[in-house]
Amino acid sequence: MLVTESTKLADVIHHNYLLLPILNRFNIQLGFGNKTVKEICSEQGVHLQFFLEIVNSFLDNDYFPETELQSFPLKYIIDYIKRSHVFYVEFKVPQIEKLIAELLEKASVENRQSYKLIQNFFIEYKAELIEHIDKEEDNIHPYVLKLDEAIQNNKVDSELRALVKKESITLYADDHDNIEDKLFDLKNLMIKYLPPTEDYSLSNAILYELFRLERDLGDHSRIEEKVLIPKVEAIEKQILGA
Amino acid sequence: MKKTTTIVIVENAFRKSAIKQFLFETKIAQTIEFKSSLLECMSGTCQPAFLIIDSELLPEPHQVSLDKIKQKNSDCKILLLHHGAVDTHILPYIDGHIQFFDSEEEILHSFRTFFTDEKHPFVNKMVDNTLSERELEVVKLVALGKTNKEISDALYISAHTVVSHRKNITNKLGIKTIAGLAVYAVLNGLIDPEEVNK
Ligand SMILES: [Fe+2]
Ligand SMILES: [Fe+2]
Repeated sequence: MLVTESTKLADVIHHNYLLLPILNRFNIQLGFGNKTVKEICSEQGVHLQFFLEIVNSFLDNDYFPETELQSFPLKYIIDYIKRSHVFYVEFKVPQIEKLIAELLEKASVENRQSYKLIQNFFIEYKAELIEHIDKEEDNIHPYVLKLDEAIQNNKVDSELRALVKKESITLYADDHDNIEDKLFDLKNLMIKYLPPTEDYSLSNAILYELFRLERDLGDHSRIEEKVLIPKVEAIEKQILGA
Repeated sequence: MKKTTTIVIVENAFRKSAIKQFLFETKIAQTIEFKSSLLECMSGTCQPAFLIIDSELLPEPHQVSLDKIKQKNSDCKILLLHHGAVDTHILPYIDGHIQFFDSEEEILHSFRTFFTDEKHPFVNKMVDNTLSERELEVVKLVALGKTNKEISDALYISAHTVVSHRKNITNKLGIKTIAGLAVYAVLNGLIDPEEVNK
């Protein structure tokens, strides 16, 4: 499905409900009746083209008009990335944590030890995810916004050039690690190796959440790596050349 | 004895008749049964050689559902009918897929290869997924946090061999990280829980 400005937003969600959290990131709330994407974007003050590119690239991994997405102000992309971070850290991860705690609570005595391993694994993962995100928000985002602002206002000076030489987004690109790997492992541990629980609806719920989070994080990393980084690289070149 | 029952799980009457027509044209499938849900096909007696399923009728998450089918009947070949792009994660679980927008020619071709190809196009089914003695030793040491160098010294094998063992382990288990392997090792009694993170 290719979403265009005249597609009804409700149809988009019927097509793939995994897009629901993406609406939240744009502050779009449910109850939008039969309105089209264009109508909703203009009501909510959402950049229409940016919204379309994000949604379409989520629906189809091969659809990635890098050049088009890259023509959006960096501020939009950073804003979107930040909102996704909030969604993971404040919402999704605690939710999964709670489900796993419940699993442990309900576990039979002989299974408890095994489930405890899963819980520790997830707690460790959470710490890594938060560290990853903090690093991006504390170091990368301010740097990117600074470059963006300087370019917008035509204020490129030697100080900025020195900063670009020192910080360079390539450093971030090179050690931007794959934060989905552990989720992949956790899924497989639960599917293949963990002793089964009597409460299958609970373990299903955990798996559903893990699948969704993994998918969402994969999409997130793709935006960081295929949109943010190339765009910043281009700006850096521009600054060093100026 | 070769089983040649084909089960087709589609709901929509239109799609049902289109698939009938295609199967008729390929002249390969022998016994064809139509079902409207996967549940009907998960009972013990149902052992189709070929399963064609509309992705809309495959419960989410697809990977779990497909894994269940393969667990129950590992010889069953699965053809997935779907709308958008197919999720790459599920490719190892299926033996072919057809998109509703594919051309007539493409669809016929996909049906033919699905029914005739001996080899699984994505994963070689003959691969033995159990770990060898050596691999078990490597898992154990990795889980204990040993480096490749330490493992190669402990087992008197080259660093290169350690790396190739680790690759095979990851492929066989579907576990990529050290922390994940540690959990696997404890669950399977290779190491004691107290030994983790030391
Ligand atoms: Fe991020
Ligand atoms: Fe990231």
